[in-house]
Amino acid sequence: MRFAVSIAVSAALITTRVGAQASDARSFFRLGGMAVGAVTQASPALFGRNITEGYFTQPNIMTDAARGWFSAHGTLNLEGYTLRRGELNAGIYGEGYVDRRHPHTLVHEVMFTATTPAQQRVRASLAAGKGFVSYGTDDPMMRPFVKYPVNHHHAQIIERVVTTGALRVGGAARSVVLEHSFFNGDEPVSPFIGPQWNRFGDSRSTRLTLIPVRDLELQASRAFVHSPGITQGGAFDHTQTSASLRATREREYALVEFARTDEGFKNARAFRFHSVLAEGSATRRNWQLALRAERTERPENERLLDPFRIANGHIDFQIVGITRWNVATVQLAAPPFDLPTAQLKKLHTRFVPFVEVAMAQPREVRKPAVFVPREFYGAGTLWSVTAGLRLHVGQMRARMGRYGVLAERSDSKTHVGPHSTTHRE
Amino acid sequence: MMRFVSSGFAVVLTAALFISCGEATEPLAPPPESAIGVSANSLSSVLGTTGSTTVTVTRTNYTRTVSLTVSGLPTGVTAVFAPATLFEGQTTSNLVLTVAANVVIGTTNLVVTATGVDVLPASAVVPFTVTTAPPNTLASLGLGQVNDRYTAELWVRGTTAYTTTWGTRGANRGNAVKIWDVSGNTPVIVDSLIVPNATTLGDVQVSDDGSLLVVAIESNPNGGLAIYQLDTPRSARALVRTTGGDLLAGVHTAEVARVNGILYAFCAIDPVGPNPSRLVIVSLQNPSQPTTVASLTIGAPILHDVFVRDGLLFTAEWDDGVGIWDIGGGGTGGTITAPKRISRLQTVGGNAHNIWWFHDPSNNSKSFLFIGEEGPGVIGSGSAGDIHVVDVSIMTAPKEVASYRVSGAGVHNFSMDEANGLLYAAFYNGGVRVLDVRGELGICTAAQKTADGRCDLSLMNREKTRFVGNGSVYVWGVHWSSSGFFASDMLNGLWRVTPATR
Repeated sequence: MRFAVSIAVSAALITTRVGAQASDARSFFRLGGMAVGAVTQASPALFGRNITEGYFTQPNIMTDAARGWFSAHGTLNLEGYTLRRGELNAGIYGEGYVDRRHPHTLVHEVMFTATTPAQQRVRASLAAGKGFVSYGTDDPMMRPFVKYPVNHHHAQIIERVVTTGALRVGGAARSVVLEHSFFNGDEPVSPFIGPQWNRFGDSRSTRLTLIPVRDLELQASRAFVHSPGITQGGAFDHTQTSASLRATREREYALVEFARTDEGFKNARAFRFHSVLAEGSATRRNWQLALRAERTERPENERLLDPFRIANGHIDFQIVGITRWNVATVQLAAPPFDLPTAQLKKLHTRFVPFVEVAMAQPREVRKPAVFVPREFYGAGTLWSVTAGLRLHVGQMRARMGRYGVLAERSDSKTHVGPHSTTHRE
Repeated sequence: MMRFVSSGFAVVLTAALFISCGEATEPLAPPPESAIGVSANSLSSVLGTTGSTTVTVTRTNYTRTVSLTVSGLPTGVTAVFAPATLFEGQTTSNLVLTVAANVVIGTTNLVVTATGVDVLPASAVVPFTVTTAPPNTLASLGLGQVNDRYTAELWVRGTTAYTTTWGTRGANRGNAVKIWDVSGNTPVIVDSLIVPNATTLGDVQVSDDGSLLVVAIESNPNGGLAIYQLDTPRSARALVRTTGGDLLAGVHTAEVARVNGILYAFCAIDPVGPNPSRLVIVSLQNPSQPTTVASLTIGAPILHDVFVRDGLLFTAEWDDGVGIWDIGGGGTGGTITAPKRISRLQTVGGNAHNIWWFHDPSNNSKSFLFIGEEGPGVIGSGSAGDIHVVDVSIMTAPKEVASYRVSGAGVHNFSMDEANGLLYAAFYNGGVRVLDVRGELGICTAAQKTADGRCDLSLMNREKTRFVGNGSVYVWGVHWSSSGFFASDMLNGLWRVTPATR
């Protein structure tokens, strides 16, 4: 914890020194950080029990640098230090966690990108490193809510060794971007264990992004992920499909997305999971109200000794049920405030108090089911109340996981987090 | 006004065009042509019975006599039309097929032909399926209900049975071993052992001398073995619950077997993170202090189960298929501490899950391995996977020769009544199937083969009988012994079932 805080403070100080150096998009260096301090009560969390916990969640240090054709993006995620047990988040699953969001890997993102000159109408870029795959929608960490949607693993593929080639036709206001990625299929197994480098290239994705007008974005993507569940290979492959519509204005944001994951081998599908999500936010007098509605199906696996943990991959290629999660979430964020003294104001900090309430109703899709949500959770409706403070320091990105020619779509109007300190790239 | 006039004009013009076109295109009446047609529904008949289907003849300007014939009949099937000749005004006949008891089961296409004078003949293809009679179902003698936890594997010795529990049911974890009195028809729970720090238990087995009860603990990261001293069959005293070491990642299955007089537990260890699946052989010579004597990385992606007999070790290695190892009885120099692989065969479809090496006392044959394939499933409601038969007459060159499939259900664990050549196979939501596996399983007629050339035990009429319980079962394990036949059902508990007879 102290380590995380010290790194965050150091990052903020560095930012104050280099902030003045930031110049145009061709040459810049930016540094920013974020974190959320929050208390969550889940009622019930499982077995009919209410659980209240406090977190220092989403602690990230982000840096971006560019010179000429070349740019780099890096993100250190410190959840491995602050969130080892995971964060209560009804419905979410993945990487061995269930109903708790897993901590992300320490080296969340290190990507190097080469992009052809900005003056051309047809542009290309090539990005390589560890980071986000060209698939799906924005990482939930850069969206209004603190709690993740259930569909995180249906709708994003992250923390992989990846190369992404991209081609963009058109200008900033109207364009089409086609990306293709190669990456390793294995999911992270620990915040401090790296990906299987020898599996690089066993998985692939393609994303088509259409921007008909500024502030409106349509996306369709598809990915083949080889054995994400078992590191050595041999688990089910995932064929994932995503489509979304994203709209932003100065004070409003909306996203509608569909995602689907098929699990199986080659053409033999074993399981299929759907997700539909709609969310939006509006800001008035610096108060931001955000709403999210989601219907997502997830596989249920045998719980380990810690009932919030499951084995990565399905044991014996079997699951104990499929549960459909209907989740409604509302968040109210108060006007941001800065540190009181002039000296500290130089850190470019912003504190945003918020309260977030979620109601989830899990229902078994197949009967008879070995996993019966009402029996397991001890209730048919699960409530979650979270209150806390979001901190942004330095210069924050507006969006994550967008490299090269697609990164240039990120602009100051894509203001979706509560009062994010965003910028135009 | 102008719009009204022009609309009326358009209507009149359209009507005139319609009338004139009708007059211009009216066809001349063609000379009458004669034709006949024939049709019939598909037919399915059971061996040794008679079946029928209606044959319909269509007549177009044809009133003369029509004769019916059929071709393509399988050997042993006779056909009669009633009537075989249709006179003016008649359009239907009844095709009656008599199926002898020795007809090869399967589907063939019959050709029904209708002929008449001065008219082209007509024919129709009629699929005809010969099936076996639905097998008798085994009767339940009694059910010992378990509603607090999901029931997993079972073992029976004398009048006592032991079942493990699995997963999480409500707030209850699968950490209990139930001890049953099975002296009567309905199993009765007499005791329950709680294994500490466990959430899922797998195999349970009593040693051949009846002194030890060994339980596999899968719970990651607290996997291990729980070993109990059986002072009496129903009085289990905990000797050890292993922690840490080679078994920590989770013991998926544990087979207890004696090799050269020493008792061992052959433990299949789950893969966890970057650590692959392994086989760990543990000596139970001092059961209070089990000791690892061998540890091998086996299985892609997992080693699921093993079978030990006559100094040979058979490993179910999932997509790597089935492995055959010498652990002292194979003559290749392998030992319990240094198993030596004799051969390996990738079974069709992979997912090799469990094994039984059949010793047939009726002819001293040891030619066949039965491999359970565990396909994807949703536990409680759906499953998939076939039984694969591997000919191991030559241990160095095993060959898959036959298979058995239950539509809509997948196989799990086996037990055998070897003296009668009966294989009991748990089929999850399909209940239990009992197969007659005596004799040659790799030789069959062309009609009894699967598309890839293996013999199909269903088409060979090898299913002897089945058990379906109350219709809503999910059978994990089966156990046949001189004590009787029992089935562990995840949803319901422990069934005692009438054993099959030859």
